[in-house]
Amino acid sequence: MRIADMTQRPPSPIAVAGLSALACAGPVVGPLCGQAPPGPIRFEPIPPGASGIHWVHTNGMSDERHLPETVGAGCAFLDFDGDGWMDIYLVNSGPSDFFSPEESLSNALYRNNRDGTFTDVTEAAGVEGGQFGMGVAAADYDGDGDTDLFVTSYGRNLLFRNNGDGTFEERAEEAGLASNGWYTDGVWFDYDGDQLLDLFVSGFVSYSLSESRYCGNNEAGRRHYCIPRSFRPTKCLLFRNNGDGTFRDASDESRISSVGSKSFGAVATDFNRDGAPDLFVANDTIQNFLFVNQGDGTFSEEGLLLGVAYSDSGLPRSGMGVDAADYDGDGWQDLFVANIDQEMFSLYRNLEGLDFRDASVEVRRETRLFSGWGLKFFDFDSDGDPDLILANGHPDDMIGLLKPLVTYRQRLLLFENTGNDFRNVSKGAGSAFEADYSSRGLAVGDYDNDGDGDVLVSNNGEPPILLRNDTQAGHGWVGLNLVPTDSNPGATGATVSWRAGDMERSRYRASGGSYLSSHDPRELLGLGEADRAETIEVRWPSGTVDVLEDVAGGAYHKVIEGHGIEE
Amino acid sequence: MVGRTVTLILILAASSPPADLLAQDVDEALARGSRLERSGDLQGAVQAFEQAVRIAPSRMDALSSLSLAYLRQGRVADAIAGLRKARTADPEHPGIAYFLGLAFFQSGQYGSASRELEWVLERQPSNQQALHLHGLCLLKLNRLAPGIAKLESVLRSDPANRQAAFTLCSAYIKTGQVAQAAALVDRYLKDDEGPEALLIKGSVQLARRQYREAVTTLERARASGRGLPTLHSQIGVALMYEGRRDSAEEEFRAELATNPDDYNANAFLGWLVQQDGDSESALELLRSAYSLNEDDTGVQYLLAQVQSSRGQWAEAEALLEQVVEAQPAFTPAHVMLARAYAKLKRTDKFRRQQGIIAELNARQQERDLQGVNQLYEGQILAMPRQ
Repeated sequence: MRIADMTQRPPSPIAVAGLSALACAGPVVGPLCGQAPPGPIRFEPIPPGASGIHWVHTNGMSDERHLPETVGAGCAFLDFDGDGWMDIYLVNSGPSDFFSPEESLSNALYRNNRDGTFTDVTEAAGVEGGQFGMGVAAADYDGDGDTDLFVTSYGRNLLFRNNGDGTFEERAEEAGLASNGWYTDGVWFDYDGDQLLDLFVSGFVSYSLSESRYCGNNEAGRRHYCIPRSFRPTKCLLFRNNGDGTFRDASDESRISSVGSKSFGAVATDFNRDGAPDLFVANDTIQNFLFVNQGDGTFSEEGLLLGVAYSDSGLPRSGMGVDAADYDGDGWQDLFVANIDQEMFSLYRNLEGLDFRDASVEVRRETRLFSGWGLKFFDFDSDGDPDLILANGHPDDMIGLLKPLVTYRQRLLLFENTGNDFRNVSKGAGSAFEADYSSRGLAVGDYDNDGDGDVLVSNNGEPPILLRNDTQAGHGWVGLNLVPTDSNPGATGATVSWRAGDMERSRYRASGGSYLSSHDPRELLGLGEADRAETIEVRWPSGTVDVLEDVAGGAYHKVIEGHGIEE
Repeated sequence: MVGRTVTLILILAASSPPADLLAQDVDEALARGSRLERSGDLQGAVQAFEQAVRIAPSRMDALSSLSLAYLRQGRVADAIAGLRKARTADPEHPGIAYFLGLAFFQSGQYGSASRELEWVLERQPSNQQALHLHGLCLLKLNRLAPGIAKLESVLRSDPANRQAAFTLCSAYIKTGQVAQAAALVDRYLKDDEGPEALLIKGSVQLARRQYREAVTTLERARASGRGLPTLHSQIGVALMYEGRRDSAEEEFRAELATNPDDYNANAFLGWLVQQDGDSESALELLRSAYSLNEDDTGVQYLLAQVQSSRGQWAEAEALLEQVVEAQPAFTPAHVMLARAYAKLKRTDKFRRQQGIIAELNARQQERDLQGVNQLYEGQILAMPRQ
């Protein structure tokens, strides 16, 4: 369904501010005059003392500069206790063949206290991890109504099954998901349309203590992190959900493992609108993958054919974070991939499912000196279109010795959607955008339930950052908590379309995205100037369509598949 | 080099036998022209030589003297016309052929120059001037290996020939023979802090990917105040690879202001503005670079990028097919060619390129596993080696 229309979009807050000033300054009173001007874009970092999040990531950085030390780790917003408030999960390093921590390290689960603070419940929940952790993917894989956790590792992957009582049970072995190696991103999605959540897992490189390489400057006595070119590729994995709590390794039969990978971020989306979710996977130093779902349980890797595998110069890049969204409102899912400095990031505009074009000059220009990891399309100002946030940092802690303009710690970047492109609005968006971090994971979720997306950033070897979205755009919103009955438990692949005033929008529910991280599963629909949605249509993966009329803004609504809004 | 030719022409003139009174007039005019030329009155000399040619239009010495005077005046086309007549008058004279080759070289007609010089060298294999000039011609024609061989021969015969050493060093750099270039630097330029020497040293550092050091060296050359051709563009290349793209752009523009035919400035500035989405300017710059040397795979590759971005897939395809033929192991060109084939719906060709790319990537992976010190440095641009 294609209902988005760029010409009907409301102007951005900044554009509105300019027009408003013009309209009210002259003798002609325009329609914008008299309206409250939108406030500034603002993300407030919440310090540990205020949030209660005192956990700090340990990267285990050693003199030997083992590569897993610098690429982790991820973070998640999830509602593990089903109270309607987003909790937080953070992944940590742990013992490995090259790392023996002096003190016990643990992942962290923070329960939302519903007052802006969090309480560490890791131990009680039993989700410490104990591996050299990488990423986290949260979803109700067994359809029992509560959110489970899949944690990737350098070591062994973990599956924490939610017991529904505030505790989890690690069942990777029993479920058939306890792969050993170096795995990074996990994406829950239903690739075969059986309404069960399957699992894609990004495989990075073949690495072990014995395969470690020396990369550095002997004369200066410096040892740097090696670029992944120095290591053999490995394979990505695809697990088919058997529907009984177990999974079958479908990597070979689906042809996901037919190409050697050095994969990081992944996102499942239907780029060609054939109803079957495809997979876009970023690779570091080799070509990116676009696995096109053939609809018969197999995928065909067509990144080269479709123009997303290499740079415009024909070079592979250091792809790390990815995401998908229809940023230009043409009804087709566009892609974003963050690379390392000098390579520039790519906003791939989808040309009706037949090709992609690296479209954004602004993004390229603004990201030239950045190395991007976590990233997410989200509508931070509730004007109805997806904006973009990026978490950055260079993997080499001594990069400044090699490149004077590039730093190890880097700023976050915030881009506002201008319709056909993006504009860097980081400056003035808050102190977090003026400080430098060694950022990796990034998750978006409305932890304070005020109707806008907040941001959690996990930093390598540093505390995480919790950014509360205090943007005063003056725009309305509606929140939806989608509860499938016949569709897959994540409602991945659903399409939500809405109309509010002059605005019509449509959003495909992709899964995954960012880097090693997992997001608030609820849908936040920006209403622009409107305070309610005239209609909302939810097209579920099962084929069921729920049409909701006159939905009040400023609140979350539970939408039950086939029944509409639960009163 | 033209100055040195005067003596030779006088010798040639002296060898022409006077026949009658007219011949005396010619001899007098030639002698007067030579005197004026020596005294610095080039225009007076030209008038005297023109008088000699009017009297004896087919006398080789008159024609050659006038032509060389034209050459000194920068009237290269007139010089070529005169030397051609002189060559007709005395078809077996190596001196005339050499100067005709020189005139062709100065007019940018390197192919014609090369043919004349080959003719000279067949008769005078040890003619060092001809050998040197022929080497330069071959380099200009992008026939790098034979050009280098000629210059190496010159240097073996005349180890003190710094001009040949400079040229050879540049050729080594262009062909990626960085160790040879560095050896020449050590031998000829080690303690030379002159701007030309610094330019060569900086170029060697650039070829060794020592970008920061190259910038320092080249900026010292610039500090001398000498406006050396290619200096700005060399600094620009170093800055570009250092990631200082705005400064690089300024350097390329500075080079083009005084040296619009500089290959690097045209090519790399074209690539940079293409990154900024200005494909119109990129196309113009890269077409200029292309016109300087249509056989250069580097500029073919860069131009194809711009054409691809503009949807000119057939044009890009034609260029990229040339690149992969000349550089079959240069993977980025295969990638771009595959994209062009995909856009042009040449499915079989696309699949073939896909296979080649997979094979090249696998080979590269094996090489990378053997490599050392591979650090996290974003790759700005890969260029095919000439």
